This record gives sequence, C-alpha cells and structure tokens, in this order.
Amino acid sequence: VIDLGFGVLTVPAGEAQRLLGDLLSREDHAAYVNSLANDPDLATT
Amino acid sequence: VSHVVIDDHLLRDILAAEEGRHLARLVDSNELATTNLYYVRLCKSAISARGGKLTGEWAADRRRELGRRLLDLPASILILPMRLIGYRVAELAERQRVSTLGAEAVAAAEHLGASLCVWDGDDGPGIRQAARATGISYRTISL
Repeated sequence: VIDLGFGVLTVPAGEAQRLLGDLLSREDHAAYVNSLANDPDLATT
Repeated sequence: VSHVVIDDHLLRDILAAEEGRHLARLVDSNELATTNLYYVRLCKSAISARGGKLTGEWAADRRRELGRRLLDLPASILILPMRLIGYRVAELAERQRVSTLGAEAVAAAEHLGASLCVWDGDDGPGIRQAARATGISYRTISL
C-alpha cells in the first residue's frame, strides 16, 4: 500500500519497485546527472 | 560485516529492484550506505522525471508524490549526518579537485572504513583521485 496523500495506491508485491523503474529509468537518471556536469556541488567530478 | 558507500545510480537500481549480477553480489555481502548529496541528486532527478508507460500520464504533482514515497529509504541504508563529516567534506572539497558531492562520498567512506562503489558509467576521475589520496578503496560496478 502506497499512501500518496491524495489517495492510496494498492499494488502487488514488487510493483512499487517497478513503478520506480518506470518513474525514473536508469537512462533518465544518467541523463539528469549528466546535465549537472557544471554544478560545483552535485557534479560527478 | 563491512560497509560500502554507493552512488545514486546504484541506489536507484537497488530501490527499483534492477540490480545486475555484480551489484546483487555487493548488496548480499555488505551493509549499504550512501550520502546526503547522492540521495538529494536522486530525489532531484525523480522530481524532474517525466515517467514512462505506467506513470507518464500522471499529473506532475502526483508523480512527485509517488517519487517521494518510492524514494523513502529503508532504515538498512545508512546516511551519515553532516554533523559528523561536514568539516571533513569541506576540507576535501578544498584540497582535492572534487565537487561537494564527491568530497562527501570520500568523507563518508573514510568515516565508515568503507569502500566507495560507483556505477562505471559515471566514474569521476576527481572522486577516484580523492579516494586514492585518502586511502579509500574505490570500485566501479557495471550494471
């Protein structure tokens, strides 16, 4: 059960992980990190 | 059991249950830690994410709320508070050619006596050098 504040989402076991994978794919996260290349605090230097 | 400090790429894969063979082995044999700034970077990434087939049609504020719940870290994943390592982070960031995020990763690994493990697709030479200069074991993991 995921309480989202505006409603409660009931998902089968393991589905929450799949939702995270859908919300933020590995490729999307890598692209986001790449966009921070000039950030003095958050870049991977 | 020894600690490993993992970056946000590896953390995302663990939370999404998308560990490859190498990462799964790392998880099985170590206590996990990450850093405040790796976690913040992952959260910022989730906030700006547009979602895929399942969540792409959701309203942005609902996607963000979903991200908040899904990135709620299990207690088993340690994050050292800045009050313990903040000064050391500042010191490393000043002395090494490394971002604040990189300095925190090295400082956390140093404090815990841990290895620092990052995704090999985001292997930063500055962080690697700072780890070496500090005597920290630095490893890359392929996905």
